Amino acid sequence: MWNRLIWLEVRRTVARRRYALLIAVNAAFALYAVLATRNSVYPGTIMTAPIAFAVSYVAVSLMPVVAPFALGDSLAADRVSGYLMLQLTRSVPRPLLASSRAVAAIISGVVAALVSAVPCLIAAYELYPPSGGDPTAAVAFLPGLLAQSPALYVLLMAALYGLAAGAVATCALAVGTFVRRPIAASMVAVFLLGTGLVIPVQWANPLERIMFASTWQATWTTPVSMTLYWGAIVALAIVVATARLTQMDDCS
Amino acid sequence: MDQSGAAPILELAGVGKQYGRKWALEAVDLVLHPGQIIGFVGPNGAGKTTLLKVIMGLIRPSRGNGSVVGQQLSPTSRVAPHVGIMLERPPFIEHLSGLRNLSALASIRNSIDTDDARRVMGQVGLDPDARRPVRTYSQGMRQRLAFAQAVMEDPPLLLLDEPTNGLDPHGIVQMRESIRSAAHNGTAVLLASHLLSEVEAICDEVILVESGKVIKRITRGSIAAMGKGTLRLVTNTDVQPSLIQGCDVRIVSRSGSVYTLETHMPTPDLVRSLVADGIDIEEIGPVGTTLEDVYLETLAYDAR
Repeated sequence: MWNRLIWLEVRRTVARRRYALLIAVNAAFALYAVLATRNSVYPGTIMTAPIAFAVSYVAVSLMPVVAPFALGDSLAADRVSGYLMLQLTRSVPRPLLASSRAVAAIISGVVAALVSAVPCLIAAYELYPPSGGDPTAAVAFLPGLLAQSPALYVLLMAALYGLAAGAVATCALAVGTFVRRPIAASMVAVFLLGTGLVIPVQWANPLERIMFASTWQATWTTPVSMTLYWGAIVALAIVVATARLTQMDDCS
Repeated sequence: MDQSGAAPILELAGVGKQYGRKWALEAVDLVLHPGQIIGFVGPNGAGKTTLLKVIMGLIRPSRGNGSVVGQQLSPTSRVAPHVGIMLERPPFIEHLSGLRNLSALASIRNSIDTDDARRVMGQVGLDPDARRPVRTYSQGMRQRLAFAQAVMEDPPLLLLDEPTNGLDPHGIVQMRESIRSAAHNGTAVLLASHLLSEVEAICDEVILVESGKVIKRITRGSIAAMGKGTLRLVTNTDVQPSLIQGCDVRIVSRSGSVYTLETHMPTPDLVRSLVADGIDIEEIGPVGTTLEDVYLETLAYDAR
């Protein structure tokens, strides 16, 4: 039943207009950032380096921030509409509800990131031919990958951003078990980023994790540590959401 | 066990639900057998929705116990029975079509396939091939779709909350037939509604509730029996009590030339007596008691 619930949520999410909008906006920003990087490498063209930096900065942080509005509001919305009752009366155990939706959010987030990376991929191949890209444009933990395999680099980065987006969306799902307003639940990304301003420990800082491209020289950032970090956030959110759903007397 | 020997689908004994100091539901006893339709009627806040949620397994009762589709219900355990529900405001995934909504819900249990969902949609009068999203559906179409999702997996128990809400007259008749058909096929139905004429037309038994308490239980036969002995007389004669002293009859009310009489006499004898007393009878006949009459009388409402 768990896998069926996951696919139900994935199919439901990808059919949303917001999801298509998420991909389109993310792809546009990411493509713009790639082009901006290109032009900053070759000054005197359309964009100057400061603009390119600003656009890149927005692009990398955009998806995890806006993703909860497309991926993470379903629990709050379903509580309001009563749709959760339709699922529960099909003998769905409550612990499965939160975990299946979390996994669905991550899958949807990664897929959105990968799909929106396609234009970047094409651009990367155009701008950085297989002979090798500019290693200085890559994050610190993957200095050689951009030069050796631009496509793999873009896909890996997209997957990491997708994972971050899914994890933040999972936090929104957990918040949705406490508040009945989908928009309020989705705003969790803003609060999560806000904690980044006060958390002194760099490796535990979600703001730093989401904007890891801005900390290119951070040696503590690796694909594995990123995955573990967001995995821990997801696990925590699932535990909170499950506990809340199980404890709730009424799921509306 | 009912007359056919089938075990009850739903059995509640003294079930109550307390929120803070207030009892939303008090000591409800209920037995529902396969094929039986029971109506649950009461004013807003009477506890109808709370009872439905207890049966659905969404909330634990504060006291009492019972069984729902074979699962034990008690204050310490929450059931997750296989029931079909139709909520007053049917919830759906608004951006999906009707068929995709049904398929999505059916995929949870994986007990029926898309063809079955298409068939059920056709049965309730919806086009399974229509691609329009549910958000463009009229209220009546949403109700039909809600009924389709409730019955598509052939649940042994149907919980219907205002099933005819927003339906046109044709839709109401169709919904009534669909509910009867489900009951005929052995599904037990618990129906909450404010539309008393519909409840009366469909249900085998009606439970009146107020402030969480069961006030009265009425069977279909008992409503008809309540009307016995009450007659409606239309006459241009000014009927005074003194005029009918020789008859075993009492004037209950008068509105112009229409009188409501109470009597134990057989109607032919009464007619002869009234004519003998000089009363010109234009029309006389039994007053049919309706569920609405019983409801208003029981819950002490002013009919106006």
